[in-house]
Amino acid sequence: MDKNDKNDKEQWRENNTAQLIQAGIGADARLDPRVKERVWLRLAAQMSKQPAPAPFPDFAIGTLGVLLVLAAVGALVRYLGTSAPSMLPSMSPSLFFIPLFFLVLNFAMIPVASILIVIRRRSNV
Amino acid sequence: MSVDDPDDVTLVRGAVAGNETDGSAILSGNLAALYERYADMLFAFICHRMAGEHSDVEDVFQETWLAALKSLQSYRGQSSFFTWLCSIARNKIVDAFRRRKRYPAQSLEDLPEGQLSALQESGPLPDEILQREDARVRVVLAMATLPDEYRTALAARYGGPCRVEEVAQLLGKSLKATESLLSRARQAFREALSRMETEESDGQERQKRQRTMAGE
Repeated sequence: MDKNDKNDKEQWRENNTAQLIQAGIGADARLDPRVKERVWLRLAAQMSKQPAPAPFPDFAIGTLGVLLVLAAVGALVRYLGTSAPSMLPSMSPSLFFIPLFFLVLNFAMIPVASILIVIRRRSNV
Repeated sequence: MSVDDPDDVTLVRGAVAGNETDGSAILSGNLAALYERYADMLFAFICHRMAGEHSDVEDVFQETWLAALKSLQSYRGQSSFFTWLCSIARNKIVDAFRRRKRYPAQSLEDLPEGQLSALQESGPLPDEILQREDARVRVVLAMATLPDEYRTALAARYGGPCRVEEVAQLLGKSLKATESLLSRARQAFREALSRMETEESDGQERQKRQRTMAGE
């Protein structure tokens, strides 16, 4: 390609880019500054009216989690401190208390997990 | 946006966090930055998409921003903020046309893939290309991906149109620095357009393959 061709190509490129931009954001599609200002004011008014979303009930869910963990620990302690035959003569106590312990622990993990999810979201992890 | 400007995701997250903690000043400040960054581009996008229905453009523009404000929390940054805004605008445009019982005639797929970026080097662009709404929409979408400084310079120089001296004054730069900036901005615009058309063509190819596989 000789120098003239290269210059021509460069010239086409510049002119066409200019024409395309003019077609895309030229006078036909230009936002009137008054409209821009008016819409912004409407948006600002809407922002001031927009209620802040209700805060996540960290404390209530945290307390529930703690209570459930205590219940699970309580059940385990009770199992360890109770003579099995006196409690449930007809069945082995481990069949009752161990599943109960894991069940309650699972419930306890739900609020703990939800709090962790919220914390991770807030810190954008 | 320049190197120092916060990106869209940071601004949106800041705005949402500001709203949650009742920091309306943060919400307002961050949204103002996003509005300043994209208002002109969004308006141009809506204008082209509504193809001649100018009486409704302002309403759709306003409805789009109000809807964006309401659902700001749902923006997760998977696409660019402008793309997200455009998807809201598309729904609002459909609503507007439904109200008027008229629909836009063209879609983005009407223009052969890669046409704009390829045509730029081959000679003067035919007038009919410049008149097409889908070509104009592509230009707006490509412009929206550019850094703020490039976009401002190109919009002033060619959209204005202003002389280079006026652009230099607007940007507070020397004439030489502005010429160099414009040159880099044009290059970035061409690359953005080309990239966008490649992505579109890949997307269309993928859809075709999926349709073929579904038909088998």
